[in-house]
This record gives sequence, structure tokens and C-alpha cells, in this order.
Amino acid sequence: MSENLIEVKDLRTYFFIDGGVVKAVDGVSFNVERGKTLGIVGESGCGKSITSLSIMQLLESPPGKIVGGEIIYNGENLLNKTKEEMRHIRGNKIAMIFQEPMTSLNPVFTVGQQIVEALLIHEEGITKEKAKERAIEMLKLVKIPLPEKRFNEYPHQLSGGMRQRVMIAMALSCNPELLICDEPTTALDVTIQAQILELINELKEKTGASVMMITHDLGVIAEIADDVMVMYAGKVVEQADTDSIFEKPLHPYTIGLMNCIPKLTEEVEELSVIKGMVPSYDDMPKGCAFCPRCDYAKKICEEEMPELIELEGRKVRCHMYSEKWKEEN
Amino acid sequence: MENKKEETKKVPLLQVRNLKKWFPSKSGVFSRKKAYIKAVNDISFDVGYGETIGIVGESGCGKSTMGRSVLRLIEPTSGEIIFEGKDFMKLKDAELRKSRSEMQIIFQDPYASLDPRMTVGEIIAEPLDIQTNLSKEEKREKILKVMEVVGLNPKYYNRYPHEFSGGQRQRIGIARAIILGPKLIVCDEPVSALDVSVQAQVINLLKKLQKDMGMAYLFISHDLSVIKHISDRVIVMYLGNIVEIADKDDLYNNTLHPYTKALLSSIPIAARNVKREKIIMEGDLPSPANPPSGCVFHTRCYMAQDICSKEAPKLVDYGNGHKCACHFCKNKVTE
Repeated sequence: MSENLIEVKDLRTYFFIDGGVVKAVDGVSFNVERGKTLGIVGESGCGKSITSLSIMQLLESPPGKIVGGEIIYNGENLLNKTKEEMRHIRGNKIAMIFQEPMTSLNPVFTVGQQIVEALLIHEEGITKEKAKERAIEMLKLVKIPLPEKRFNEYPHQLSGGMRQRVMIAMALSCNPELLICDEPTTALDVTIQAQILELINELKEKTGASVMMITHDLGVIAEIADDVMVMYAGKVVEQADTDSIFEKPLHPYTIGLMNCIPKLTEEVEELSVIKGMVPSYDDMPKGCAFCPRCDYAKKICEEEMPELIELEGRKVRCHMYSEKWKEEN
Repeated sequence: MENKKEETKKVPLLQVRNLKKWFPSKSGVFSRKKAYIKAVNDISFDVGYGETIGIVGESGCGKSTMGRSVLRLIEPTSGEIIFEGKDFMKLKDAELRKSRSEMQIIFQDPYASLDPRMTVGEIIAEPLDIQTNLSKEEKREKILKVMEVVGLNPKYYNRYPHEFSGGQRQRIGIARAIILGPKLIVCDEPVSALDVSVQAQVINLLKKLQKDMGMAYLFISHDLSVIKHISDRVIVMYLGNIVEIADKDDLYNNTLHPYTKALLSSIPIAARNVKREKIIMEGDLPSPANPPSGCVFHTRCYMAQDICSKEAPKLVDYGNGHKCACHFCKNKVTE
């Protein structure tokens, strides 16, 4: 039995805007096991990025606020930590890389300075020389050619793929136990994406860190994740290990997502679609949030939000697997 | 389908010959030497009536520049563009503007390509204002009809772009492009900014419109799966050059160029039990300002040998219009 590095329980992050409440993350629970990769997948606005920002407590507040839930890390609830303690955990224990490496690096400092800065802040008693050595070591680890030269270069002198490598080097420089990757390859070309995914996989093996991979791309999930969580409109709709989710997706949304991407391996005249679009926050359906787009929806779906139920050792939030749905015509 | 092929054989809708677009790159104030970024470097291909040509490549390969040069939205440096037998390069302002009713473009970013201060009705009306003398009522009627065709509720006629989602905005862009009944539409990454569930809706719409109206598409995308789904023929570009061009089935089933192979193997496939050979290319795309000598791909190629850095391979036809620019694909074919 593997142990959980982080346990998120019933996390609720709301945004208070214009007198209204946007429930960006609405009762999300999941675990990340030690040394494993959890993939979180969903379309824009489903709450996947807000989930990760909540763990890091990097939300812009106001308007964002964690209104409920627990984030248990090594037996302690991160939501009870002070700002000072969280600053220590961020970077040292949990590190994060973002989608757009250009905007997350400071353009007026060399990449070397930026990695050294991270080390000086997080490693107590490290000297500048030692930090530089470590930084170059990290650049080597992420396979940046000529690390000594790159150390003195500015972000604009690097390509998108190289910048993302620098971000990874910086994130891993303090040996975090959890690496959160928020769409790390979305802005990159496919050939570079393949390199970065391979690198993340390799480093995970090497350092034993756990990874949370947030993406909209089911292909990336198949490539890298051990477990998957599918989100829709702020809620988890399906949770399973990666093999079973690709073998047999249970939730109509997951099924729809898999069917609507054009595939290299098969030929179809028309792509199957998920009709309509994601409901806006001020127009959430009363029952299941996916109901207006769902091909299997019945009356019960319009009226009641389904619970996340356990099924075949997996979890799914859908009435389709309830007796009530089966009885209804 | 048969008809389409036959027509293609007669006279192509569009013939592009030796198209070049070189951008002068910055050089020192006193330096006399001029450097160029060869964004599109000597490209030739045909587009048949009602055909979809997919153009695929990584960022910076020149695919968008090529699409825009073909429409002369940016002026090509040299080359020939023959549209329906007429020399498109020779057209002057007024004639050029007139010919635009035959060729249109859809952009990637539906947020940036619509004027936020114009209503949907006004946006779609613009081509009609420029190209026709229709009365207000006639225009309105036409616009409402085209809105219905692209799946926009006609009651949104007076709304502004910000009131729409990404997918709907792309539909507005499509409505604007098809209202004059063009023969060619350049689609520049039209679905890249959209969520996958909406992406499928827009792709299906584009296919349906083509079936009903018969226009040709020059479909530019970095996504090989989308390209495969929508194209009849595919052009693979690398650093301003065509490296491979073929019928879709030939390209995907009998891939010749090592770059195309690497691209195909880099796509993460959304399935677990697929075993396939993975080619992970080393390094980054070289800068187009300073392209490698010889074959532009040799710095990243896993098959490269001495000759590749010295001599640029020619685009050779290996049968059925399957062309490839590589020193070694000939051996492969004869094997």
C-alpha cells in the first residue's frame, strides 16, 4: 500500500465578484501518492488551475478565497499554516511550473541569477558559490546544452523549450516532494513537448518526487499519468487509474472528450461532438452541471446534482449508474 | 468525391510557383550587408477546386506567412500566384480588392480578429459593404441567412463580440469569410485556441460548409491529427521549405521524410496500449535568420550524414504526387 503525499479533502475555492459567487472549485477531493503522477484534465474554466493554485495558496485574494476543505500534507493541514510557513513550503516542498515560461521568468535577470536566488532563499546557510555550482548542476540535469554559458544568459535569449527547462530546473533546485505542472507543454511545439514530457518522467524517476499534471490534453495524460481526475464546472466528475479510464471511461463527459478529438489511428467522416458549451457561472444548471450537453440525460439529471459514487474501484459523478436513472424512462 | 478529383486534374484553382517571402533582418547602421529571414523559401504547389490542403509544421516554419503571402495580405518577395488561370501577382489595388471576394481568411484568435466595437451584423456585413452594392435590406437578409448556416442564432444580430464564447466568435469569423461565396479560404489555425469539445464542432462546421459550397481550404495547423482529419493533401514545412507533400493517406501511412516521421511520433496519443516507435528529436528549431547549410533539417535529423550538411536535397516526386526533400528517402522507396 503506497502512502499519500498529499490529501485534498472537500476543497472549496470561491471567487466573490460583482456581488456574485463563482464556485471555481466546489468540493474537490483527491490524493497524490508518493512517487506517482496524478493527471487533472478538463476544459478551460473547469477549475483545474485554481485547484493547484489553492494548494500553493497563490490565489489572488480578494476576489479568490478558500472557503472550506483541508489540504493535508505530511499529516498537517496547509490551510492552517501562516504565510511565513507557507513560504517555506512553497519551493522547498511543493514547487510549481506554469504554462507560459516567458512570463514566469524575470526578463531583467539572467537565468542563473534566478535559480541562485531561489536557492539562497530556500536553502539555509548555502553560500553564493555553492548556489552557483548547484544551479549549473540543475541546468545540466534538465539537459540544457552548455550550462555554464546559459547560466549567464537572459530569458529572451532562450527558446520556449529551453525556458521551460529552466523553469523545471528552478522548480527542482530545492528537491521538492511535489511538482505541480500547470499545462507545462501547451505553449510548446509537439517535438519540444515530447522532450519536456520525457524529461519530467525521467526526473520523477530520479528524484522520487510526485507530480500533479494539469492539462487539457488527454494525450499528455496517457503519456505521463498514473491516475486521472476529470473535472467539469468546478467538480470532479471521474477519478480512476489511467489504464482503466482509457479502457472504459464511465462519465459521459469523459466519453465525449475522448470521442471528439481527431485520431491519427482511425478515419471518421464526422467528428462526434459534445453539443453546446460549458455553462457560465451565473447560469449553472440546477441538477448535474453537464446535463444540458449530455446525451444520456433524463429528468433526474435536470433536478439533482449526482454524488461522486464509487464504482468498480473508481469514482464517477453520474446518475447513469444509479437505480433511479435506470428505472426512469 | 470523384468529380472533385477530376476537376482537380484539369486546371487547378490556385497555382503557387517558387513563392518566396524574405524579411530583411536588422543589420548594423553602417553595415552594408543585408541579411534576410527566409520565412518562405521557394515553395510551389497547387490547390484544386474544392480541395483541402493541410499545411503543418512547428512554430516559425513559415506556414502562416505562406498563407498570407498567397492572399497577398503580405506582399511576397518573388514568385508566381496563378488564381483561376489569372496572374494574381500582377493585380493592382482595385482589381486586387475585387478578387478578394474569391479568397478569404479565417484567423486563429477569434478574440483578436473581431472589432469589439462592431456588432455581429456589422462585422459580417463588412465584405458586403466593400464588394457589393446591395441595399440595406438585402444585406440584412443575406447576413441572417449566413448566420443560420454557421449555427449562430439570428437574434444575436445586434450583439457585440465580447458577449460570445470562443467557439461562437470563430463562427462569426467563418460567417464573414463565407458570405461572398469565396472559392478559397485560408484557415490559419482556426481551432487552436478552442477547447477540444468546441474544436470538434468548428471542424465539423468547416467540413459541412465545404460540402455545401464547394470552396477549397488552405488549412494551416500545427496539429497533425486535425490536419489528418480535414485534409485531402498535406504539405509539411520546416524552416520555410516544403519537406514533404503527399495525399493524406500516403503521408500518414507511407511517411518518407524523417521530420514528418518525428512529428508523427511526437504526438501524444490518447490511448494506453498503443505501442509505437518514439523518435524524440534533439534540440530546438534553428533560427530562420541563420538556417543550417545544406538540408535545413540536418541539425536535428537522426539519419543525417555528411552530404546533408553540404547539399540541399531537392523536392523529388516518388509517384502519385508524393514528394519529399531528403537525400535518403530514395533508398527507402526502392527497398
